[in-house]
Amino acid sequence: MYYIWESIKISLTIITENKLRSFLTLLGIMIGVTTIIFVHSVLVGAEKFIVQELSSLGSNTIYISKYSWGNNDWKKERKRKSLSIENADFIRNNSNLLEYVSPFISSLCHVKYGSKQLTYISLVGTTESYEYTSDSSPSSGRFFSSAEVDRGSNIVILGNQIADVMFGNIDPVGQYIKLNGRNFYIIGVLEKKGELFGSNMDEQVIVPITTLKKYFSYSLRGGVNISAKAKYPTRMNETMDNITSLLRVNRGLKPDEENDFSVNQISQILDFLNKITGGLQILLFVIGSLSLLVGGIGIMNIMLVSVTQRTKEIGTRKALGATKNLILIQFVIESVILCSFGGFAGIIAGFSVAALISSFTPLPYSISLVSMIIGVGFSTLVGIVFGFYPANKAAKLNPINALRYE
Amino acid sequence: MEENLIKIENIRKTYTPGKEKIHALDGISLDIKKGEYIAIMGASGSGKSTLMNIIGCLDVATSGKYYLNKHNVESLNDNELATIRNKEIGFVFQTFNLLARSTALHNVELPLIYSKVSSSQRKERSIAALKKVGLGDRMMHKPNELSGGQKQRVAVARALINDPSIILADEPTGNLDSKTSIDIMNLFNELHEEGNTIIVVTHEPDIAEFAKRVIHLKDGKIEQDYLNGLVTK
Repeated sequence: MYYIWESIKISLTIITENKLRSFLTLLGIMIGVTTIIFVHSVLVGAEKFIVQELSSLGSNTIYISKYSWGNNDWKKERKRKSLSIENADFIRNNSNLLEYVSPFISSLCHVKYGSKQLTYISLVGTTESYEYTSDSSPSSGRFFSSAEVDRGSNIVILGNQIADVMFGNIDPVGQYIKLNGRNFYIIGVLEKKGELFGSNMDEQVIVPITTLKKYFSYSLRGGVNISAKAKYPTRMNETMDNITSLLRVNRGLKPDEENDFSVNQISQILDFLNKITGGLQILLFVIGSLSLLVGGIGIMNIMLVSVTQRTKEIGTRKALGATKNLILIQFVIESVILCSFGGFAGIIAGFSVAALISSFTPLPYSISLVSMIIGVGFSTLVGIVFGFYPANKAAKLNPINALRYE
Repeated sequence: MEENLIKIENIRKTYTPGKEKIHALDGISLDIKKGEYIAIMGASGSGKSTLMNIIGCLDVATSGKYYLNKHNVESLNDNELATIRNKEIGFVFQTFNLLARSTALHNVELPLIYSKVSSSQRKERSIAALKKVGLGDRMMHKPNELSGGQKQRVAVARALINDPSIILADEPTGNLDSKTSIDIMNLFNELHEEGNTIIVVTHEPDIAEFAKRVIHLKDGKIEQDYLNGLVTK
């Protein structure tokens, strides 16, 4: 410990005396660590972001639609026959593994209250159980009832932000609002939900699916999606198989025909996501390692120069009683300090770049302890590995020759 | 009868740089008592540097025996030699060999770092050593801010700091003008009078005159070994 502290002091003097040289030397390490920290930070941030978004959907929720998630066969799937409300009813009536099944149609409409107007607002037509399948509980008022769905009443539930913008401090429940010019009675306002994949979940209005069919017939082109909540979260696979076989029957598919619908689950997206980020992590590791390797060679080079320049100093130290090991420690420490400076600079630079990028993209970044440890750890390791050879060279110098060196 | 501080018996050192063997030291035997002041003289190639390196434990002899303060130097490994150099020998070099980046104080402290003395004690002892060589007001100066004579005084303070058995000076005045040389040699005289054992390697007869005993080397052998009859100035 005693020597380590002394060696650190000596190294700091030498490093600060050759500022430019030290800086250029540690630049390589810095770039390597910056790469690792930056990419890791963005990847972790993005993953966190997506997982957070998805968690608002609920893990035992199943989505049935024309398109499958995490698949790129979009062109083929486009030709599939749309799902129908009848499909949803069939699943609901024949599966005992599902708690709720709600068909829904997504569309757009214009919303007007007094002189305030919002255009192209997301409009959802659905049934009463959508409250549970989409975790859309009202913060004031209520969701609609099955009777209201059957009747096709002119009632609406507002997203939190719409209520805010249109009504401010007034309670919207009990007021009338115009959707595409037609009066709707407001029965509830949803809790704040935030964003999901860039679309604002608080900027939507929900009406009974029957009402949507009646007054917003243009919406039917998009087809029906079905969201369902499984009764037993531990039996998700079984539940999904059950839905698949029911739908095949209901849609009259022959045994040799492929499914013309997709049963999706959040975990599918997560799996897909993990595949992508896993690949990116490996890529990042390779790039980071390469630049650390290059940086390490730079360190080794400069340490060799340093040993040569200080041959006489090494000789003097040996004459005054420094053992081989002490000389070795001194030079390895110098290399490690140089590298860890690079590592710290890289951590700061990496997070800065990540923060900068996240400031004008929706991607968040994450300052994780793990990546800091990786950054410092790797740069220290590089310091030890690439500093060892020059340090050993210094340690093995013959004191007589070293003293005579000019 | 005083005990021998250094006992050298029939030491040989041979190098084989090319095809032929070179006998740098060809059977040297030498006893040095505590408190002696010795000058080792000789032309270049006489073997005086090789002898100094062996006495200074920087090198080991090819054959023969060397006892320094009862340590059998021949049997020591590299680390033990380093410890002996640290504790028993104070080096003074022709080119001063101070660490350019460090203050006079830190340069003097250096041997104490290698003998694990605590930093407060190190400082205390180094200040005392620098005052002793007359540099109490130059402690925080770096070597490039000091004159040649002052640099060599720092080196002498560094040599003294660990209270060594011998002070080994290799051409200590080689890079100094004649006036400064005399100053430095007077400093060695003082140290000698205080009871230190001093060995000066030099090729200048004027410098050798300061010593009490002169050993002349020629072709790796002791040619003459006599006491200086002249009274030091």
